[in-house]
Amino acid sequence: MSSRSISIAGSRTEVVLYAVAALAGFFIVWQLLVMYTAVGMVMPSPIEVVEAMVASCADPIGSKTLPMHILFSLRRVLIGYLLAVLIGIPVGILMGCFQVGEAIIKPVFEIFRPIPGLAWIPLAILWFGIGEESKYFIICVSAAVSIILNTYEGAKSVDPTLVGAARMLGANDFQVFVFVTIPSSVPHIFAGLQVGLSSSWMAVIAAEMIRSSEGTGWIITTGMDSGNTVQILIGMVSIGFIGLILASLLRGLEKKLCTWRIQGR
Amino acid sequence: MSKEMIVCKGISKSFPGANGSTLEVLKDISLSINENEFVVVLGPGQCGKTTLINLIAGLEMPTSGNVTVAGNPITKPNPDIGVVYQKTALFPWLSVQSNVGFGPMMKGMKKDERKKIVQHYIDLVGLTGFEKSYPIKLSGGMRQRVGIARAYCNNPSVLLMDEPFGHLDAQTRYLMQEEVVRIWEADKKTILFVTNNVEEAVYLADRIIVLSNCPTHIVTEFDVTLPRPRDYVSRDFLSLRKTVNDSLERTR
Ligand SMILES: Nc1ncnc2c1ncn2[C@@H]1O[C@H](COP(=O)(O)OP(=O)(O)OP(=O)(O)O)[C@@H](O)[C@H]1O
Ligand SMILES: [Mg+2]
Repeated sequence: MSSRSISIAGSRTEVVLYAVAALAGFFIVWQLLVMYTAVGMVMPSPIEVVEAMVASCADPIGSKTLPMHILFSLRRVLIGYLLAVLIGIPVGILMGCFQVGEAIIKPVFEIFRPIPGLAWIPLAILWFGIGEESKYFIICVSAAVSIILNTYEGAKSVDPTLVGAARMLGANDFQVFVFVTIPSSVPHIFAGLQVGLSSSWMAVIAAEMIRSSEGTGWIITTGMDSGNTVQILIGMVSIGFIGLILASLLRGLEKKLCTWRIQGR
Repeated sequence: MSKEMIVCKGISKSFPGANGSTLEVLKDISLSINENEFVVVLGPGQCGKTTLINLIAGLEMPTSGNVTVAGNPITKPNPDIGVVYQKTALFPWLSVQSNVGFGPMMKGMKKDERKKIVQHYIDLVGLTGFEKSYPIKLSGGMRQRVGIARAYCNNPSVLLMDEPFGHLDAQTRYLMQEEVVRIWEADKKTILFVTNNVEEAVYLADRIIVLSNCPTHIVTEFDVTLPRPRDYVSRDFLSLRKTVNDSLERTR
């Protein structure tokens, strides 16, 4: 059987219970620290933050309400990320499936690989200005690296026995590619999509913190400029929740596409 | 006279070994298998059984000598030859029915027609009710059944089986041996079955070809005339089993 973590928390409901209890514990400790210790002088309580978040759905922070800020950040992420997916998967497959592709692309890729997406910010601003395009670019670059890398590894690690089996059943090169190489790379591709998604979510925050007039990153920076810790925390909590939701959506899609990997009857 | 389906003429195979040496695996193997004959190739572990299968299948080329199947020289993988693999080699992302129907689908067979023959072979190997299951949910024996159905469903004229039951527990292995004979009798094919298990060879074969250790050549052959279904503990079975066993070189 596959590697499973030692199950202290057995069933699914138990896992959920533990998660809820842990989160509740975290917020209670935070609340108590703010109420009874010096932490209260530098941090608002979770109740204050939640109240402020609810309030900011109606009263704008700067020129926009909180949901609008979040939508702005989300739009940037989705555009940049989709670009990265559209570029990353084909490039990874070219590298993994074709020796010529590997020979040409791999050396170039290896130079770009260690450069973090955020190091592209200055160039992006010089090339595309401070508008939306530079943000898309930064997000795309940040996400593309891990998507390319994982897709490449997936395409590369196709079991040669399965390729042989498909050939023995009459598959031609194209059919081997479509019916063996691609499906067997899917789990790797998803691993890349997952890492890429969190990189692009981080990149949008950084891009907005440097230059923007709306978005979750902007909320944090302006909160810092005005010494408003509640506003900073609103930004941080929103980032945490949205990131979690995006990752879960992607995991749901993966589960659907990869039912064949789930063990048990 | 019956038709020769698989003919190997003096095939040898060497692999490049460590630091420039060559590893000679097969050495001058000649054999010929008739239509609908069930031949078992019996050889010790690591002697080159899988290599022999790969050469006949066209997945690899011999260093010298040549192979013909149904009169056609083998130069590349040929769907007229079915292979059942040592480690099943099912497509894990396809359900049982899609695995079984893979060959016909590659040929572009229409869906309705495909569905019918897929079901026929699923029923034949005894997997009715598991059409939609993924391989990961099946036991080792059931996976091999899928492998056999998949090979049959492509309607090859010869079937190469590479130690298909090597990883099964003893009980399942006996069951599968019976099944393979039953399936073969229901749908006759020329079968070359590879194993390192003497009892399995005597149970299955019309003819047993015994291989030596590496570099591998043919040591001897036995015709098996015991009537089927065979009894693992009859006197004739046991005495033949001993004779075959004595002809086999031991590894190490
Ligand atoms: N592609 C290859 N390159 C180099 N050496 C190989 C290759 N394929 C097989 N060999 C070597 O040839 C020898 C025979 O391998 P083969 O897999 O044919 O034996 P086998 O009888 O099928 O073994 P087993 O009993 O484990 O199934 C082994 O020593 C193996 O390392
Ligand atoms: Mg083998």
